[in-house]
Amino acid sequence: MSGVVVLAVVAIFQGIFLVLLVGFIGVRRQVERQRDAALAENRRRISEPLSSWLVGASSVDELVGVLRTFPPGTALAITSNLARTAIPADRRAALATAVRDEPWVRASLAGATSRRWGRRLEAARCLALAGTPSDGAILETLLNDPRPAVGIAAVNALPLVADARLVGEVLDRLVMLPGVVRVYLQDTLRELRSLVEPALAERLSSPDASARALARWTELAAALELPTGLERASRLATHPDARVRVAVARALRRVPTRRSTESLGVLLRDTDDAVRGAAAHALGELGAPSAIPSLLAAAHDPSWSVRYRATIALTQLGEQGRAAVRSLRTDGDRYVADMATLITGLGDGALLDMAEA
Amino acid sequence: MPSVEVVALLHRVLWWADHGVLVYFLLLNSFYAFLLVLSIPELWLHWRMAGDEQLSRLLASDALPPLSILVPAYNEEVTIASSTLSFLTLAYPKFEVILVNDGSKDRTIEVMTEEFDLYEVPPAYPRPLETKRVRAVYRSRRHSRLVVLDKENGGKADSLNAGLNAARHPYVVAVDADTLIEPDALMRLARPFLMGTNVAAVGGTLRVANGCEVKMGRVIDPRVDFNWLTGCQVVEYLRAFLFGRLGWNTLGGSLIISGAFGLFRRKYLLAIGGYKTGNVTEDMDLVVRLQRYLYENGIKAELPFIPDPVAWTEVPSDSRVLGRQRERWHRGLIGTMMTHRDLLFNRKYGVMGMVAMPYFFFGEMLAPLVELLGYVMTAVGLSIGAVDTKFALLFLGCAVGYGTLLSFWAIVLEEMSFRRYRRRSDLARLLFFGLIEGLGYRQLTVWYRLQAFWKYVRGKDDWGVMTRKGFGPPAPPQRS
Repeated sequence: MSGVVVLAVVAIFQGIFLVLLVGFIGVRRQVERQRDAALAENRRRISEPLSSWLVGASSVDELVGVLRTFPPGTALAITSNLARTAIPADRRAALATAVRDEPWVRASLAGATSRRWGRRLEAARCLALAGTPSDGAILETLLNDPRPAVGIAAVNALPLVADARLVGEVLDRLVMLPGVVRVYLQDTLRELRSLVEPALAERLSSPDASARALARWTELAAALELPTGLERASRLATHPDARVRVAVARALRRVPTRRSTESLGVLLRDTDDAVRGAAAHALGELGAPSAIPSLLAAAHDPSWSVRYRATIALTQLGEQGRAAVRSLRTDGDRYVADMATLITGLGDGALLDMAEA
Repeated sequence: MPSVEVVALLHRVLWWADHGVLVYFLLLNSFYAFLLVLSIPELWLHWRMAGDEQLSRLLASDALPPLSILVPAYNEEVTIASSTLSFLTLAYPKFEVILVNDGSKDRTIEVMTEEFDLYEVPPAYPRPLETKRVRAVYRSRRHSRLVVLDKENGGKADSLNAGLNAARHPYVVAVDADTLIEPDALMRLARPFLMGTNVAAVGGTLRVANGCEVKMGRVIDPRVDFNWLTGCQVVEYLRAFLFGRLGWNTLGGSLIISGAFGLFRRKYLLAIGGYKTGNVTEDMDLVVRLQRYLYENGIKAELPFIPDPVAWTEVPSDSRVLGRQRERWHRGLIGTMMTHRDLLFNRKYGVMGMVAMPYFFFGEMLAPLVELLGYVMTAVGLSIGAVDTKFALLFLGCAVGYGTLLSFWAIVLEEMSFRRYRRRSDLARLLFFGLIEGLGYRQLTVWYRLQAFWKYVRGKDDWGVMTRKGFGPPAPPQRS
């Protein structure tokens, strides 16, 4: 076969392929249009029975009856969206029980151990809708899925499935979870405060816990504002690992007591500048005027970030604190004076923004 | 009359040159096809994740790291107020905008002072990077997140370094003053940081804003322009971002994160000495130095590209400006490749040394020279009868056809994933420009890129004048 023939064959194949690609785009657009129309129709069909159930005008069985008329994927999509919305816990539990034995639910949950992550994602979404306390093992698997998207979807199932043991497991695993899953988990754990609080307090007192774990648990105690957890966390202010001390300093801003102010005063003299910065930030948020002398000292810190945090914190301590910052504008140390001039020159909005960040 | 020996020698030279060009063409296009295949699962993954994330929930959380947006501006008095406002109103929990006026000769700083009620503050921040003198630092009474640096002219890289010094957050996003960022793009761009892996930088997608309807610094109706030059660039950008850069994610060695829209970890940028002044494409140089730093220090950090955070940019709509841009881009590529030539086939640098650098050196930098050689040899061959006319035409047709196929693939990927261009008329234009791109536009850019070699040899390091028209009215409405 000559070169010309080879090239001619290649050119013909290219031409066919180009036509196929254009055809594919056209067909896909058509399919998308039909899918959009079907979606709109499904929304229209489900809208009334759904609203009726949500306001308590119809039973859950009626809603499930309507869902049964949809294709499995559509029923799951509709109910997955429901699982994400803030519906009362008792209704959510009633819906979970009612759909639990539906064929489309069983088929979806069977995908929890599938090799295809799309199916595992579907299972996680389904579990968030139809999970029961007996699904602890499935949920555990899904929460630890290597795909963060699956873990995120599974987090939504916690309120339906979790018991004390699983919450304990979740707290242990939380340490290693990627940031995004942790945030979702944190929000969901808010609904399970009564189970989280004792488990967290126990872990924060554990002598064998790693520094990383203690830092994460302290962050969780602060985010959920759990009194026992925060009390245990405050005992870690002298922990040898700086990560833990930073987390403690951040957490203490949620505890407006004299003891917290004193602990933060100690952390303000820490050897690590990240700890000193976090302590200054927390003292500003606590708004305790008794911290002014230690913050004034921190405003002379060799680290720029500590000086910056301490000067901002002083402005949060009422007129006394602001007067202290004004006095720093004439300080002999040029860096201290410049920082004070910068902070006193800021508008309220900028100051608030800097204090928050 | 040339002797028989000379003609025979010429035939032999032509045979070798033609076959060399053919092998180069096959290898390069096979690599493009490979990137395309690699990009498909990546695109699918991001598409699924983008659809699954509850961004509003994230927005209210502490999980997203605070960012500093660095905006270098030079003579931008016409658009600076609206573009700054569009940056300030992005959906992201904690960020600051640092606008650096690079010694503009127009009223940029006056416009900013009037529009944002600026007041001067002392420059109380450490300056680890050397830059031209910062004349004043301002903050705004209207927008607490805005910081404006007024400095002496030193170029884009110098302005970015000044911004890096002033940034107080651990991550920085470098954008051009005329870039239009989609409201949720920052949240999407920060996604890899939340996944727990150590990320040094993240690249987002740039799209062509020409012809789109723009209001208050936002693209509200994406359109494909009627102008053939900008239309061809729409297809070119789709191809470059949807499979060019996405394919490199799997290989793990991308060397480009666009200077008009990229997110970086500040500590790494400071560690490599910030942006290098004097390089006409500061973004590629930065990424190569960053990759190099990570390899040399044994830091395992990724530089992924994420397709769904989108920023829109105005591209040149006339051939003179396009020529200057492409010549500058290619000169920057040559400069970066020559500076870091020791990385070429250097096993110590892993994928970057063994795959990325050879690809950018041979497949990108030398491509216009090889293409020119192909055209010249074919012309000479045809004139002396050493090459069959039918063969030459078919070869040219296959080469153009292959480029068109890749462009159409990019359009298919766009259709299957994000589908910004909803109208049928826009799709028709995309396909049309994908079809004609290989017949004129491509050759034009080859010519511009060839000029870069000449300028590089002569040691020119100027940017050339980049005139922009701004975001005017949209393309006329079409029935769809």
